Amino acid sequence: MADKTITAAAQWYARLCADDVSAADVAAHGRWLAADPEHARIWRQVERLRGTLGSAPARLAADTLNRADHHFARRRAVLRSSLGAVALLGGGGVLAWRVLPVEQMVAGYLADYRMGTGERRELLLTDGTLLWLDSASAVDVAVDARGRHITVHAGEVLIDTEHTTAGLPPLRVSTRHGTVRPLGTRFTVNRLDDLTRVAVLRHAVELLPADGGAALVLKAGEQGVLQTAAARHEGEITGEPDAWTRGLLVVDGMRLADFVAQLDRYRPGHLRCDEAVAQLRVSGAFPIDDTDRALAAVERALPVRVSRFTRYYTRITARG
Amino acid sequence: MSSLESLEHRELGLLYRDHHGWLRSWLQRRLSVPAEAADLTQDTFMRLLASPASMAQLQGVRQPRSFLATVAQRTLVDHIRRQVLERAWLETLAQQPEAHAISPETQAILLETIREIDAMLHGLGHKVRRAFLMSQLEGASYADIAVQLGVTVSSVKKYMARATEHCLVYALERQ
Repeated sequence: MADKTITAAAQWYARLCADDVSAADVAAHGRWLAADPEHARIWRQVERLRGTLGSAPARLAADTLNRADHHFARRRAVLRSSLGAVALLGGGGVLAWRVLPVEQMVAGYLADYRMGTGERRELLLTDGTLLWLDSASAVDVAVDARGRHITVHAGEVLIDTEHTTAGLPPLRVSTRHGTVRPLGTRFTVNRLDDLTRVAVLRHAVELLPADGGAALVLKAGEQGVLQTAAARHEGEITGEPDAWTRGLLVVDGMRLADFVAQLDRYRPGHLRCDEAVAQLRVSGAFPIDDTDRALAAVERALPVRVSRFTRYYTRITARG
Repeated sequence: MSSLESLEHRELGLLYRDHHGWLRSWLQRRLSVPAEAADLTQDTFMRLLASPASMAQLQGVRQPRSFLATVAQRTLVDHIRRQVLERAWLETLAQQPEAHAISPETQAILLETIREIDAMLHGLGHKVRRAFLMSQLEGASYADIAVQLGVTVSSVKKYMARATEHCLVYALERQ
């Protein structure tokens, strides 16, 4: 079972996780991956392994496994005396687990990622592309004959191709509304129900509507909307579209209704606002990892009241 | 079914007939809840049935009880490990002020994931496992891991490769 490809994949992974991983290592790994479909098949298992490790809330998993090891060490002593000399327990070292607030992981182009509410992650893809996944986002990353491909199924991502290895096949970022073609750049893609919002922070991107409408180029500082039939400019960027990568929602004169829709993504359950206050404007930087604090700040700044009906339903209404 | 397989199954049938009572009392003596012995006796025979290697070993076993005890010990250890993990999980949850926000369905899924991680790492040596977890979950650099474990960075790299290979084989065997 432990064939050459498995051993090689494991060695690649050990190398990519090393402190001194170089651009040359990353490029060499890309070539190894492309050299044989069997390599890609086994590498998918590495990605899946990462998925398993990342899918439990690390702090709870850590506490549980630590505690279990502690109990187990005691039970094992009892077991050993009752069984005589038993060498069946294997491993059994002390597990110590901790969480990183935003985990960066090395990831290849053959995986699916699903973030829970309140979960964010920074991925360093093996070609050097940085991909940040926001709360409740879902993406697939793949490589095929046409090149590298990131599909955003839900939520928002930030992509930075600044340090991507040169000379690789083109990168496309797609949603059901169309495709975004980066022209050497840093940009966010936010997949909403009926449209996809794109904001460009550096250089430029090209928007290609899914149904073949005219392409549109967005430059740094601009935002645009991609729908299946057409793409359009939405003027200058307001706020900081990538602030969520630092745990903040930064807005400047945003409608309360839009703000609430944004904050809702980081909060379990439902957050809604009444029509009567929907048009109020919000400005400032709000913590997205503590949405209660963000809501308290809104309550102080605007003539509104935040009512929590249940743990999972919060409503913003006019005050008084 | 080939004749060899049916021969093995017949052996197992005989083994069950002659020794399952003995195995149950063997297990009863080792369990804090003796009522679990009946289930674990069944589990032990199921484990034999599911493992072609064990079935093959059955041929020519001279001391069936010592063979059964070996398999039963593994069943017992797995059982205790599961119990211990579950208890640890409940204790961990009980200490979370937000625990009631996690639905029972989600709790069950999370516990299953933790079991999966635990099982995946089973059989790895202490330092190898430690190095893998420090790197993958604690975000420690190879240099830090080397210092903590008192080994060289190149050993850490080897440990990482070994642990990854172990997990890959585990996953591929289950497909």
